[in-house]
Amino acid sequence: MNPTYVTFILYLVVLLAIGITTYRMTNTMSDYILGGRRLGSWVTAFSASASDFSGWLLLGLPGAAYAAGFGQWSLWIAVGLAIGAMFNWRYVAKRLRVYTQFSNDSITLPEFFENRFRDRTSLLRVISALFILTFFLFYTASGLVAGAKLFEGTFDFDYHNALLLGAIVIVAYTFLGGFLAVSFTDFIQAFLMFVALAITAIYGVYQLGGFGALFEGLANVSPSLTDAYAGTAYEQATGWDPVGAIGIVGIISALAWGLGYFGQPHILVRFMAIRSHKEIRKSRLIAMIMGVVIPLYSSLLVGMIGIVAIDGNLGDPEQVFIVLVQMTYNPWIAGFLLAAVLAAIMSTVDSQLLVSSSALTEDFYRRFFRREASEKELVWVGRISVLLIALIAVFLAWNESSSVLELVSYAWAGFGATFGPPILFALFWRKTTRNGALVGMIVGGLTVILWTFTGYEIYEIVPGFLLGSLAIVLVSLIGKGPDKEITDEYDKVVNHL
Amino acid sequence: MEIFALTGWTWFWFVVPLPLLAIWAVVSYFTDKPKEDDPE
Repeated sequence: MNPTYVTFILYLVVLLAIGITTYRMTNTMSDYILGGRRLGSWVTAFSASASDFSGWLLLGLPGAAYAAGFGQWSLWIAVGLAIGAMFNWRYVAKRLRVYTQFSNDSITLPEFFENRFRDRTSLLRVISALFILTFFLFYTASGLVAGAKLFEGTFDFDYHNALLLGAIVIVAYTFLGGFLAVSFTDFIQAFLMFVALAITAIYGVYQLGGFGALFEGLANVSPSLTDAYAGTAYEQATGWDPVGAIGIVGIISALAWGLGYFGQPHILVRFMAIRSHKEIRKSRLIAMIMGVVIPLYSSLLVGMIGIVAIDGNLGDPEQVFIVLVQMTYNPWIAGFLLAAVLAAIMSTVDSQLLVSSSALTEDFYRRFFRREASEKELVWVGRISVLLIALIAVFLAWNESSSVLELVSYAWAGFGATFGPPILFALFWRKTTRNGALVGMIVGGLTVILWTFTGYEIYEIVPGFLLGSLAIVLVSLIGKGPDKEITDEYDKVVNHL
Repeated sequence: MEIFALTGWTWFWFVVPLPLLAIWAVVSYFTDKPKEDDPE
């Protein structure tokens, strides 16, 4: 039997075992979607990074580094993301953990918005849940497409069989164990993907004869590959051609990816679930070093090593990690390293399924249909929601040339601009009003969706984030200020920190 | 200035920001120490 097969199967069996084990630890809705707020610092750190990076860290970023070396946007986006991650951990994590507990123990972001602003109309909750469902559906579908393509490329699986197999395993452990299963599997998955990347990068640099040899190798292929300000056009037939400077708009767009962190529900929910806010400083240290800085460096280096080490030009730059691994290691180690790609994809899809399920269960079902539903009933509605959302995502991903992959950057920008400003203002500005948050959310989200029609080439998150923030400030200042009950709660949270 | 075929500013962006953030995470681990009576 193909050793890569055996490694993959073993890995999938471990995931299912975790689902079955955590099934017995999940009794209430808070357990199912927030793990009963009892995550330790290591699991929080690794699961936040794993659900954040997705297949992008092993396919997308190395692909960009392969296509352009230091040039174009790969280095800038890595810097932007690392800055965003640090600010999120340093300033948002603790405050969000404390505030969500003070605000009537909110367990989802939409519920937090409703409680934070005492929104009796539930409009904030419904609009934010709708944005979550919309953006995540496409995000999840794109993850399933990426997973299916990995199986297809590695084992010559039929695309549709691969899609179904991946979806069944992810749904099985998410369905059974909920947040605890997702977080524990994320922990293993993060470990797997970060180790795989680091090993491939270190061994690759070593084999080429060190950093000097690697960078000189890049310069020999094309001088634009060693210049962070240069643009490069990559074609399989012609290779790497310099295309002038990327310019300030290109650099700002790449750095602005970091803004997306403040609005990603599947990452923010990790902060809400940590056992105590005192654990956050330790989580931050682990996440920033082992889950952000080292993986980003490794990911960039893997792409650049591919330029020098792989003979011929790749048809799809995003295959660089897979090709490099298959080329360098024996099939047993390659199986382990390639399972990491699957881990990266799964760890994001499972978290997104769960957050979408929580939006359906908590923000629609309990809020509008069954306020008096028992905890047991809600957990089961949550499980059925996971199944339902996965089915729609599989349907969207069914077409192999489906355009959902293109929507991933929309989803990151969409979440960043829709929820980033309302979260930051809700946590840090006492005078933010319910109307301000609502209008800011809508303006941010719609700007991202509609920006493409303006024809301006800047990443949508920049105008979305700015206009959303501006809308919050203007509407909050123009209308009636927040009630005393709201500002008292805000003061209580600030005093508690 | 070129080091190993990289321009000085490319080196700077490659070598400085990410480690600086890691150092910040280490420093803030020690400076953010919760007080004994800090509530959960």
